[in-house]
Amino acid sequence: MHGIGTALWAELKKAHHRHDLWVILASAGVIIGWVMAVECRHPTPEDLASFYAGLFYTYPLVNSIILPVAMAVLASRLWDVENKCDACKLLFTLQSPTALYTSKLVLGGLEVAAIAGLETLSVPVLGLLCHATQPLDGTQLAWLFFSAFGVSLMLFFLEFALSIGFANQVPALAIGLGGAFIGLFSAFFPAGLSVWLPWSYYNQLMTVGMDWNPTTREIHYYTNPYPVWPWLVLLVACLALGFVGRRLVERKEA
Amino acid sequence: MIKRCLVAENQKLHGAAVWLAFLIVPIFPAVMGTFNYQQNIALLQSAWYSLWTQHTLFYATFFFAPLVGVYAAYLWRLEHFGHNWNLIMAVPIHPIDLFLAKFLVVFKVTLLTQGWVFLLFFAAGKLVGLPGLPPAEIVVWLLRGTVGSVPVIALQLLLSMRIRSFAVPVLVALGGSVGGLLMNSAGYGLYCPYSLPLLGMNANANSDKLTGETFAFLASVAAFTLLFFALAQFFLTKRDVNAE
Repeated sequence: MHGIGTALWAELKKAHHRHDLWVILASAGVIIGWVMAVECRHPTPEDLASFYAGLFYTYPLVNSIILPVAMAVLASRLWDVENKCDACKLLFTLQSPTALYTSKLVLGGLEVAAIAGLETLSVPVLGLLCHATQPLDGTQLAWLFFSAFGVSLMLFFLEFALSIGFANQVPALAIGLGGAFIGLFSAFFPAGLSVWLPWSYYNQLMTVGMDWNPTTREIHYYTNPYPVWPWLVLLVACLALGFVGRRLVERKEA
Repeated sequence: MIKRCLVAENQKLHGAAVWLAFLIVPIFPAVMGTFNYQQNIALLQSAWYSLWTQHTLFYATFFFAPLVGVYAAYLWRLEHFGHNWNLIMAVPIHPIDLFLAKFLVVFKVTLLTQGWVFLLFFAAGKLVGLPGLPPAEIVVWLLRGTVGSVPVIALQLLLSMRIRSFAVPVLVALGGSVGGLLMNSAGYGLYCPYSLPLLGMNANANSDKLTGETFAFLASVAAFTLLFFALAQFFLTKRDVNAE
């Protein structure tokens, strides 16, 4: 544990010099800014009466476009810093590959939590700014945080393994971009296919649905039950991807 | 000197992983756009034009600029390794020649990407049974989108030159695309570089959005491109002390 604590301290220092905070703020800023532009522009009293439902519907959709790329960026930056100076050989004389890998995963997890936290915090703030009349459902708010965090963490693990596996970082970014497409359209896929697509879980964990009436042009939001089984998939995927990533780091030593 | 720079930059692309992004990324909007077209065929009655709206809806809006960002970041990546910046500043070439060479190479890859997008569009149209050939107007829109990409290429090269990270400029491009979409919806598309490819490709529109505004579009492209080249010239000549 001592080795991991020291390694995490070193990673925090590297993150400070890489200006990771700006990447976190930029990622959350794009998401919040976009949702704000969609939901807070000239809202009618009807819009304000279902304001939070609108946010709980829009945030996962915007997440599915922005966060796969943001996760690729976070993961790529965390590992690429070692690629640039071919630092692995030197680092492994000072710390174990497991300590290096675990500390980077913990730091990445904290960064993912920060993005999900800022997004969640923006919900009541936007409600206050726009004078929402709908009461805020605390369970839905917590669900938004945990689903944004859980799915993004899985994607971060995937992108981190890709960043370690491919030194040039193009595959990580290209898969992040492709994943954003898949995530966006995954609502139209059959359930049997979606379950295998990591980027589809932003949609699968959505608990607010929408009906749009093309004749009256009215939107009606409804709630779905909270799904449990996707969390099991996320847990298994994180464990498997974490194991793959660790093996890849260990092989760097050889 | 520019010739030598061009040869060097082209060499970097031989067998490069960037072709993976070039091949794979445009397939997603083609497949998804075609699927969306088939699902809404009752509403989408303008044949090739309707298919075009579905293909470009997300490609031009969110994924074109980040793809260009990947190309640009890849060409600067080598320069950020080790002490290569010192080497660049010491070689007997004008720094802007290096930037121009990278610009021309990224423009070439972008043009090829647009060709690939058109091939996928044509194949998808034939697969869903659209008659004849796509209208020439769509080819014009595609080429005009490439013209609209010129300031985006210059900006992404500038960002990738200044930010010593492969990934961050790509995230900026995605954020810029969202900003470009919002500016375009507000009617200020000509004032945002990231809106220009979207306007040029006439994304998600059956009729030409730039009717009567072609001059303003070209002026915007020229102004932004000159601005980003001037900034590149400034950073490469006045701020080279930042090199390691």
